[in-house]
Amino acid sequence: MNRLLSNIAQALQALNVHRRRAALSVLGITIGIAAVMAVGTISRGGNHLIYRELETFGLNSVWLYRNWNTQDVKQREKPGSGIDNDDYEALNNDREQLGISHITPNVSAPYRWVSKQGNREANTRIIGVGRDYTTIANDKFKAGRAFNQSDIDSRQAVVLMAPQAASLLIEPGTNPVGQRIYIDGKRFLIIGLLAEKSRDFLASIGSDGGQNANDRVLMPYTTLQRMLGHKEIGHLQLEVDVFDEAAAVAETARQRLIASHAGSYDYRAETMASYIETTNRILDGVSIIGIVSASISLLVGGMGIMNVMGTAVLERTREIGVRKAIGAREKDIMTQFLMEAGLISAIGGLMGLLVGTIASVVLAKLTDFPLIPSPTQVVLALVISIMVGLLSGFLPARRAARMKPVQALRSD
Amino acid sequence: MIAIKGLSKAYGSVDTSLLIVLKNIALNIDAGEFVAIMGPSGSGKSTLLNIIGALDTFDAGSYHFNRQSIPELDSDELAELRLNNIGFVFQSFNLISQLSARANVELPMLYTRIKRATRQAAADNQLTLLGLGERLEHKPSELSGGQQQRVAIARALANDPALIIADEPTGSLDTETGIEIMKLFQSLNQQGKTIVMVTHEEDVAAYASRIVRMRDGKIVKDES
Repeated sequence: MNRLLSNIAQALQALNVHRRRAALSVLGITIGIAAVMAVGTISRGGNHLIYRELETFGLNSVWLYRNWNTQDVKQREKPGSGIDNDDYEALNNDREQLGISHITPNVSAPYRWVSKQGNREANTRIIGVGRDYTTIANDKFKAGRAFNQSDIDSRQAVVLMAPQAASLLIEPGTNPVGQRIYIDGKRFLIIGLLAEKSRDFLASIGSDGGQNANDRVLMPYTTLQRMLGHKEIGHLQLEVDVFDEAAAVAETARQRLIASHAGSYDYRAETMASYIETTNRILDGVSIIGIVSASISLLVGGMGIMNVMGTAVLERTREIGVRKAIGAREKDIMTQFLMEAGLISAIGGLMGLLVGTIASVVLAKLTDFPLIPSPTQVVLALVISIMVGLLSGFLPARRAARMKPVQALRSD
Repeated sequence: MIAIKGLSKAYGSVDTSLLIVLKNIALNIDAGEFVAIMGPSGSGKSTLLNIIGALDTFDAGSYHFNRQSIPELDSDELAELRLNNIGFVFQSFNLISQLSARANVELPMLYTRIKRATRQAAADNQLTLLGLGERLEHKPSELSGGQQQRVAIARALANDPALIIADEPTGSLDTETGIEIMKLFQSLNQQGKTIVMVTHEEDVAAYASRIVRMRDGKIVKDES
């Protein structure tokens, strides 16, 4: 420790003599490290944000729809969604065997329905769902409760409301739970208020499926079916046990639907897993571009250090001779010059951390990405910068260490 | 302490123009001697001094320092030997310009891994003994020639070596300062240091107890 401090002190004194020359190399490293930090911030923040928003759909979700894009003309002429309550019950009963943890039907009501309370009116999106819906979609409750089996079985006139729908219909400052609203002229009891869900980022890139999560009004699918006068289900949403098996589970479920309808309809399945994969590919692409540009800065900085150290060794040949004469071993000379190189890059690294942190804060503000500090990244940035310095300093330092004392002393 | 036999050194190779700098040198120096090596330029006196100081190599013959055969040592072992046994004083002082007087004197002790506090105290003490107690923090450029040479002597003494090698120690100094430095060498010799010095000035050599004269790579006269 004691020697290390003396070495650092001497290295600082030596650098101080040529600070302008060293500054340029420091700058290269600074830019490189700052770039590494900024890339990390974007990629971590983006990842976190996108995952948080994808989570509002349920990360383990699989959707099963009727496939209208079939080549089979006879199939295309058939009306209806191709999914009914029997399909739902059959899949629901075999959940364990299929690797499904939850499943919900999803029935949509026409948009022309008006919901009312007193003299307030709104066009809300009415969705008929099963008991598991709120679990699958990671819905949190601000108040009240979820649907239970008896709500479903006895077709109760109960609804859950998302915050935006509630704010349009319910008098501000009152608790919606326990209040009544009219939907298409029928009276419903509000039993739960859902928490707000953000899909702003996904919406901004057009990937929220065109649906605002905050204007939903949910009711038991059985209730909605009775109002609509049919037994059809628009689509099924499943939650699989194991994320990595989503595609396989989806295909099995799809085949079962095809089989149970004896080929009258075709179906398609979508998995959240495949969206996440695409997302990751895009984020990785952004990171690679950043890492490449950061590497170029670091390379330039490293070459700068090699140049600075090469010049320093040449200029200080006589000093090296003196040091060797008074008893410095090769290791001592090597350490001295590596220390100087390491110090240039460590200073660059520290400045890069500072600039990178500022850049990260600004970027997070500009993009609305959450700012997630990463201690690993800070350590990594410093390690990388010091490594660049040591690697670039190695050849000049070795040349210094191997000089013959008499020849070195003779130089001017 | 120093036993040199049949030592020769040449630059260049046989087929080109071989420049013989030292021919069949034999020289023994005992501990406690103060030897001046004299000779015109090109006589090989500096080369011999560098070899005695374990800085330079030679082609033939033998050199034992305290019974240790010098050619058998690798560069790090030679560094170690110089570090612990030999102090160097140069004509142009050769202080490290960005380091203070104290830090220059500390340098050899840094290489012997002496603790910082001990090192500093020893450096301060040595500089104070040489009359530089007020100049500890000064950089070499802020010191006179005589003061710089005294810092260099303090540095040479830092690890308490038995042998001091001095190459024209008064060459860059005015006469008066040169005399001060030579008196300092004389008192160091009286305290037991062996000193081997190269000079071409007779009145500087006069401070030594033994004068070795060289010409064309040979010792031509050796008188006490």
